[in-house]
Amino acid sequence: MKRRDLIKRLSVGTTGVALGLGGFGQRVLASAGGADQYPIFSGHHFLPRARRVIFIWQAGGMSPYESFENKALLHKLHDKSPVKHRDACSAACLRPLYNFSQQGQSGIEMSDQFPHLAKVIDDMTIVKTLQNFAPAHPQASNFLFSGERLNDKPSLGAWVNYALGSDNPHLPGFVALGGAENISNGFLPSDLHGVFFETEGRALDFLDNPRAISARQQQAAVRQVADLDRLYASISGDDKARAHGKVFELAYKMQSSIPQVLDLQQEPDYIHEAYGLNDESTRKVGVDLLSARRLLEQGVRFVRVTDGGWDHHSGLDQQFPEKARGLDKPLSALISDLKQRGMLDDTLVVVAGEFGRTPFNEGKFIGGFGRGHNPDAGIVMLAGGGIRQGFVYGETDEFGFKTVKDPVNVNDLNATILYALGLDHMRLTYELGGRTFKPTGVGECRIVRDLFA
Amino acid sequence: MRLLSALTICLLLVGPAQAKPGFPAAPDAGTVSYNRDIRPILVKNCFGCHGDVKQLEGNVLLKTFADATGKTGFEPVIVPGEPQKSILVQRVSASEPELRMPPPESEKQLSAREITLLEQWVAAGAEYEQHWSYMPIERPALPVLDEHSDWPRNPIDHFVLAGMQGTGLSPNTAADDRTLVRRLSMDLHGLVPGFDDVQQNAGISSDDQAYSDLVDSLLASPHFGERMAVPWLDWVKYSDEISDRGDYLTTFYPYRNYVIKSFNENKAFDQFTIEQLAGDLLPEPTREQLIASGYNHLIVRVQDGVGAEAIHKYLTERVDKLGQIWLAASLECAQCHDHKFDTWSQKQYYQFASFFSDLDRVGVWTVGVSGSSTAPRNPDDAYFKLPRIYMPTEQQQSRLDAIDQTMASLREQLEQQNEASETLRKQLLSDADSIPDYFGWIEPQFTRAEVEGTALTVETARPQGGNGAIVTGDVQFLRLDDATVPGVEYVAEFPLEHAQLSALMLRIARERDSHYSFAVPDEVAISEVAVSLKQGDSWVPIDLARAESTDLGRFNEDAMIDGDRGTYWSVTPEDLFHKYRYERKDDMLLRTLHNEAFLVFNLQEALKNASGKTLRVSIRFADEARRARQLNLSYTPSRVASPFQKHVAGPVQAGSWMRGARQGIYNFVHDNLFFTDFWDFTVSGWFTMAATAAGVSAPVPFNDIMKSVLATIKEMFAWEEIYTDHVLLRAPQNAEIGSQIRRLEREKEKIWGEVERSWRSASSTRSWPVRVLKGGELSDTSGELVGPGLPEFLGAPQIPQPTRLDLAQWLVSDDNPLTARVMVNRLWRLFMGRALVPTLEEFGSGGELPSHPQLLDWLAAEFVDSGWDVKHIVRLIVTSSTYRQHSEASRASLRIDPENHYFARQGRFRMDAEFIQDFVLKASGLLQPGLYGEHTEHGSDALGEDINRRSVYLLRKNIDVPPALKAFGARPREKSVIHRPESITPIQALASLNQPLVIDAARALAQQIEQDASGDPLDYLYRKILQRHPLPEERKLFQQPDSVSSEAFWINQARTLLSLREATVRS
Repeated sequence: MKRRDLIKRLSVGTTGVALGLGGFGQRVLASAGGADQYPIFSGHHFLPRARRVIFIWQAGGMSPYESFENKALLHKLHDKSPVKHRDACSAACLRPLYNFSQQGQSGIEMSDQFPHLAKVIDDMTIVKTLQNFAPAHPQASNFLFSGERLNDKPSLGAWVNYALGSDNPHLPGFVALGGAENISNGFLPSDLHGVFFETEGRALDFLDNPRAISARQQQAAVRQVADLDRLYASISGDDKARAHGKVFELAYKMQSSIPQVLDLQQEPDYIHEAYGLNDESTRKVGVDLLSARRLLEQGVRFVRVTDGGWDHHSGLDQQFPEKARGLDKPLSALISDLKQRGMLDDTLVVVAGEFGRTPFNEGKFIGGFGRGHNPDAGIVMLAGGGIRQGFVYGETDEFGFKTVKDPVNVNDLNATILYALGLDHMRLTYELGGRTFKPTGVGECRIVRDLFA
Repeated sequence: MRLLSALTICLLLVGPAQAKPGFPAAPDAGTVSYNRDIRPILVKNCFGCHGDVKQLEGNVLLKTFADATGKTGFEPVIVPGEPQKSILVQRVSASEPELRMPPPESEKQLSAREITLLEQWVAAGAEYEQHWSYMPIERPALPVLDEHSDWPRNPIDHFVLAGMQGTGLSPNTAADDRTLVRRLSMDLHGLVPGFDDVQQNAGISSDDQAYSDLVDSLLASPHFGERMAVPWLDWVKYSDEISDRGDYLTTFYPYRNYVIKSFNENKAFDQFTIEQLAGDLLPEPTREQLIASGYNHLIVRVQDGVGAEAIHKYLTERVDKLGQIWLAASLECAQCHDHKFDTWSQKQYYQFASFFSDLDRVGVWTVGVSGSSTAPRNPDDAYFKLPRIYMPTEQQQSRLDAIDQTMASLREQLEQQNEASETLRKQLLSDADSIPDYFGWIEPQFTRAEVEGTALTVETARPQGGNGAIVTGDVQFLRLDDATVPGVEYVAEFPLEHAQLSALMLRIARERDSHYSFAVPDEVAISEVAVSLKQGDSWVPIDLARAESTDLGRFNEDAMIDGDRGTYWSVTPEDLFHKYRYERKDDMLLRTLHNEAFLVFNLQEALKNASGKTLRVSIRFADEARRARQLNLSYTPSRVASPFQKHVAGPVQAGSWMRGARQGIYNFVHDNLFFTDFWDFTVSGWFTMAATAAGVSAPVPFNDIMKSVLATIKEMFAWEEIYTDHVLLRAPQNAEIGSQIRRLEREKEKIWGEVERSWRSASSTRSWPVRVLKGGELSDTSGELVGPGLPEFLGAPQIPQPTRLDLAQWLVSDDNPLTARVMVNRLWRLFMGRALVPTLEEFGSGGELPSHPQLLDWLAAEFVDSGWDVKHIVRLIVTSSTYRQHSEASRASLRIDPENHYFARQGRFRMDAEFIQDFVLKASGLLQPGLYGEHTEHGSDALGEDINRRSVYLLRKNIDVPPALKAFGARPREKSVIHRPESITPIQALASLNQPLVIDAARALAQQIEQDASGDPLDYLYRKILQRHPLPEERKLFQQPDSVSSEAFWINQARTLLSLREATVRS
């Protein structure tokens, strides 16, 4: 992408105007690296609502029926094979396993597996019609994060940082917690690759000083490298030597800032309690979400948290409650916490799996309950970043199997996330091999403006 | 407004790369060239609406000369030779906005220069050219030089200098001695030179002979191969691990060593190409050629891959590599559709795939599969016989021979001792009826031919009471899950087209729906099947003689025709799920997962003149109460034996050792048979009915299949040996010989486990059928079946039945202009930092144009004419004046040519990750010298004995990259990595300062300081690390050791210097 072309497009854009908002989205050196092609602009395509994103990936695909889709017909047809066209469904139906009730002022119907979330449901939008283009995990995950079927294409977090850069030069702009899949920079500059941090233990390779080296020696070494690099730059005319010296200073700061940001001991007890850190069943997600909040607070642009294990082909009745419990309290705490800190307004919280699940009992084959993959209707939970509050979007058929109204495919979702950040997915492009790549794959998709207040 | 944004979208999506801004036309300028001047204008401005028949505006197509001149039915917008009469020129230069092209809403506008170019081009006849990279290579004449004519040292410099003319640029000054020695050492060896090397070569910048001698000696060193192998192994996706999981290590390093050795021996690149793609198909291939052919198995194998999916994945990986390495084409796109901008068709993609379809006969080796009843002796060889080459040493071979000899004489002894058992042996070997007893694991089945009757289309099928689908006019007449409804009777009526009918076949198939989720009923239990024929207004019952099924025989099929609703036949999901059909194909047994059950109902008397009549079949499903009752009785005598079961009672009356013997034979066959699992995609989840005139003769020819299996086994293995090993050896009377033989066998196994091995390609006589997959979707089998074929548009010879060898030979033949261009371009980049065609992996129209097309072609021609001599091309490049320039840019040069398109200076870039590690090792004296061999490890905490050799010998996995290499840009090898972009990140700084290897190196240097006689520790470190003395201003930046131990102090200083940009930048 030629920067000047982009700026030109911006200035004559048909739907948006470049906005230079004071202090917001100011051009920040994304990394002190030599890559100077990004952040590619200082303005925005649209009025930005959010300045950072946390994307919680329910890897495997959460069942709608045990969360937000209470289909009366499934209770009626439980264990029966409905008379329908053969494409639609052909196995015994499985009723939603848990009790549903209306929650909050908004009266959103949800299962009893998310009691904590019920308390913040009025801050959230639930999309029931997430569609994907592939029914198998690897391809569906590629689509979810990059809009492309093939792997190793730029992930959404890389695109966002490519466009906007980071607000904190001491931290990477795209951080992954809980899992390192689908965080590639693809063809974008390689320092946009998501940086995977371990949340308990050492966050990064080589982050600690070697045993023999004291903090003072480390500081001296870093200063010397920077000084000598600068000297070399002035003698040799090698400009990159300056950038090289700078990243050592940055790395040194990261050595203290990353452990500090990830040091949850700095959080008070009530926060530990709220995020469920004191309970084994909620600790893992709690640690990741609290770490994510601390990273976001420090200016990380995009945090992707992987919450794996939602692929309940069998054992739904045992595993779903565990997964729901693991997520419910920490997620609810995250939303309240962000709100309390005044961050929810400009932090977009997205919770989604790569697809939904079928209304049929697949687990029956091996005993018990289980559901297959359904790329035609999945759940997305959204909060913050200008998202409507206490709102449900999209309708599925009486089985919850097919979307009948307001489909939101994964590209629509990503276009909408970008929109919240003030970016137009059609104009955030990269030319490569004769193709103009955009973050939302090929073909048409839409920004779901209805999701915003 | 809506239209407007749609248009914008369209343009955005189709607009390929644009010419570099500020990149003035044409180093070798002359007349207007379509490829250089016109095509970019059309691509950028016109093709969006006038380049594709599917999205055409105003019936104007500009794609070819014929299209634009009206010869193909589109508007004639070009009149060759007459720009004024050409609508194209009129419209682009029109002053009225409503007439002007491109239209204002497209946000595109031609510059005056572009309009002039179009005019000139039309005036000159509007000649369209083939895309530049697809045109034959013609060696251009050397350009005539007006100035700096004393600068060139070889033809390269003529072209580079000619390119600079008219730009205001002139060649940079030559680099100094130290820079040149460092540059040559880094470029040709991937190693930073020693201080001594720099000193010994003082003066080379002004002494061409000395310079040339240095180049020769560097090229002759084996470090050259180690350096060249690093990018090559990235391209071919070399990995010591074959899955995407990180824990399936395999032995592949002989291939890695082959690559290093080939570069060292300066193997001709055409031969190098052929050996890798098709070394196994060469006449009497050498061991080395077979190792090279392991190239085809450098793919990422998957776990849980269903046969066809896995084979498809492996084929696409091979095609993608072919495109990336030799053709610089992103063929990947053509997997799902014709390439949007290029000439590569989807069909060609699958034709390429077809070249490799002979490779996976032995197994879609699925990672993690352990179907073997015995634990694999070596994880390398798990389960399937893999395509390998084994290379015993002389010593190993002679011991193996000796063991064989001893074993043979022991066997003979055994035979003599056991003449009495001859009867038993005869019985075992000849009685086909006894075989099922040994191979009971092979299920009884119909052969395909016997069940392929004519499918009957149902007139109506409806349930008699109860819920269920009513089906009309379909072959599939009853849904599988309706069959779970107990007690319901389904009645289906079929109009007959058969003159004669003697049997009906009912197929019950498990569903595989479009979302890969399976619909599985608990059980299909049929209590009665009745057949009747319409005679006038009434239905006349037809007697059924016998019912049979492919089921395991747990239920009596005749229960369905006995008129008793209390008895039934049943099939369970397990039965449907795990059905295999075994067929013998060529030299292997083929196992197909078919997910279906067949029922055959033989008519008592064949129907004659049945055509035009209607047949009624009623199927009654067992009702629940009865089923429950019967299930409880599952082992009572009421379960009549299936016709198959009569064969199952074995004839052998031996003791328990005999059971062991049978188990042994079973294990042997199971472990050694070549299976390929194929997924049968025809399953539907519905009942279908077929009729046959021939009838299905019972019993189902189970024994025939078994005979065929046996024949295969007998041919494939020495049956006598199996017999001896598994029957005689286990007999109690042979205990002593048996234990001797077993001991020898164990030794043999141990030796074979240690024998060096590598992967090789092995061709099967049976190729996997390849079809054009619509939308890339594997389950869509409607596409055309294709065989191997070479690209016609490149003028490749269309030979019948070409092989991988033909493909490889074509790649390096005069017919293919791509390989030579692609390779010299990549060599140029290695030594200049910037390629002639910057898009290294894309030479199609989506890629960039060459900055020096004539130089590229001259080099390509030279490469081919020299006999594909890699070292020759490298030598040409590194001995040119262009190469010997300084890398520091003057202000003017930077302003005119910031990206160094014109090579008026050398490039400056950081070495690749492997070489940075090697530098740390070498500068500190830790680098171990060994060549080739297995894997090395780095650092003092390494576990093995082979430590601190060069990084090219590090163990590599597909996904996990060693962290230190990853920090400096090494990528996973899931996909071909043609180029690693350079970046500077904090992660690198952390790796530079904190990785254990750097501390090892710094400590080693600090210890050496104590031994150093110069008494100037800083100078020592500068000499070791930067091959120079410190400058006074640099000295100022270092302090003297304070109270801490001086070793700790110098460790830190060494670490600092090892981390400097200057240390690893090649300038």
